[in-house]
Amino acid sequence: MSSTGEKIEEQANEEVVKKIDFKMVTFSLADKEYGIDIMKIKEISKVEKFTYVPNTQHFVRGVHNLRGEIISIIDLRKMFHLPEKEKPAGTLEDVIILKLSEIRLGVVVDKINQVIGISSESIQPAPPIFSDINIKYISGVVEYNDNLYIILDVERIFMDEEETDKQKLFIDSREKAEEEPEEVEAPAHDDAGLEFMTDSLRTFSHFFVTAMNESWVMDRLVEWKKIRSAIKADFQLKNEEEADQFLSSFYSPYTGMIWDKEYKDAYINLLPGGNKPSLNVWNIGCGKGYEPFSLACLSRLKYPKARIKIWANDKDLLDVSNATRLVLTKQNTPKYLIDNNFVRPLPSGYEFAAEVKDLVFFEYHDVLSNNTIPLMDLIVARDVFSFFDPSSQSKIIEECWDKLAESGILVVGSNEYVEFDGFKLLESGPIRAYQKV
Amino acid sequence: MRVEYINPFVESAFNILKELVGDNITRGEIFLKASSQPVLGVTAIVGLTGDVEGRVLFDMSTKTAISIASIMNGEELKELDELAKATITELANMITAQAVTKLSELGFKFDLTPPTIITGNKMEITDFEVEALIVPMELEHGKLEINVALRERN
Repeated sequence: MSSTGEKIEEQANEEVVKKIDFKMVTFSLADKEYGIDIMKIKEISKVEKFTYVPNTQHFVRGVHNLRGEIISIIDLRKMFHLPEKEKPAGTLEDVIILKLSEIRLGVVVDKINQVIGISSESIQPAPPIFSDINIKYISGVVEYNDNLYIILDVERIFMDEEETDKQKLFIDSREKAEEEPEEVEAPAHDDAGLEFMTDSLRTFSHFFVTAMNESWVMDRLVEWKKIRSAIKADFQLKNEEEADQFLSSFYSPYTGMIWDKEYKDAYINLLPGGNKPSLNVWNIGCGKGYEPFSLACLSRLKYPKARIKIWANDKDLLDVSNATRLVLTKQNTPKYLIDNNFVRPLPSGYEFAAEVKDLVFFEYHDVLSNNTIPLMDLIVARDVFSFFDPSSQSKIIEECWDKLAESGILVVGSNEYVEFDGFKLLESGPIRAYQKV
Repeated sequence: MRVEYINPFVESAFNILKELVGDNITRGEIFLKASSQPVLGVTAIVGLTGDVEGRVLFDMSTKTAISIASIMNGEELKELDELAKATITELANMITAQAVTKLSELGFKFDLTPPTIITGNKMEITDFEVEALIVPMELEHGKLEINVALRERN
């Protein structure tokens, strides 16, 4: 017995030794421990000051001359919206120099600790609701000597930024293209083009061309062909990125941001006057939380004493679970939020006050399942229905009608049209609203 | 499913399985299901009642259930006998209880019903007016699906 026992132990030991196949450099940031795969790291260094470069993103500290090679330096605290740390002038700061597939760059962290070797099997997926850092930038968590390390996916963090830049480039070139004289006269209606577009939008973006959005798609197609011919490119969509570019002008105003004063006032005017005792709002496809929080604030402004409840749901687990802790940057926080104490200051921006958060009820939910909600006064589903297949589209519109109280209002995307007997068009300015009749 | 409910279940399932069954656990993609769904063979049900009501199902094949029960008891079990069933019940109880403890720290109050075990082939489970959250856990010994359906009491 004892010999078999020893053998097993030996094997186990061997396995422990063999299993160390992942080394990472660990560092601390705002009192938490993080790790970066050592294969992504060129070197570590201490730097006293960086050369400031004007007109860059807020998290870029400047550039640094590393033995003749100029590399950009990024402050990880600023990038993740963590509170800034006071440092006396002349302190040497710890910098990790990364070698990513396309770029070299340096990141400033609080303190570089050590290199540790672990088994890649011991890395666990990060729980969906996890930390200050967006989960898509975390490749996992690992425990080592009673410390929990969050492993950052640096390729993803910095490549994502690159992507955003590429998109910006695209918008620039498009604006230029529009300024140039039109060389090609595109036909107003092109059925073959439309059919092709319908197929590729469905494949790449899960966007379904139906009566709801067809007129926008046709107009956009004409415009798109001009843009593409100006940059001497084929108009056909070849990948997701191009499909996203095609759809970039589809989205309603203030998608992915808090609504500004004017857009908010337009909703306030849309809502019925008088003293309503209660207001129920259903926000389908609430995404990262900008829409439901905008709705919560404007509802409170409109009805200061009412019992307000916003049902906000989304199919994207990550988005909706991070939505409750939405943080606004200083420049993206409209003044009316601050003036009405709807937000509280954080070192890196603003978060919503508990009184606003309590109005919103976030759910991970598929609207095609059973919707167990009371009758609604307002349903907001901007740019949502177009991403459902045609039969689901009509099913959801019917469901909305069903769930609306008498004279209730349905708001869809500014480029979407609802054709349903029970709805009449109420407003088609920046807001496209329908009323239940 | 309110987002606040999700993580406590995922976390406690992961922690407890890791502690009792072993290190080799991966969590699959979480998803929602609304229609009727087949169950795998052995199902433990824990009911929840209070501010929020519903139930949690722990669904696995008979083979997986026997393996898990063997590890938890530290002896080789041959079939799904009383001991094996009691063990699976206990596992369900522990995971649910830890999740509920976490939720009550967040201010949600629940009571639990004693777990029930259902075994058999070709069974289906249907929930009315509530959507189920599925958390698949891949163990060395097979798949364990945690199926949570909760709703606010109106």
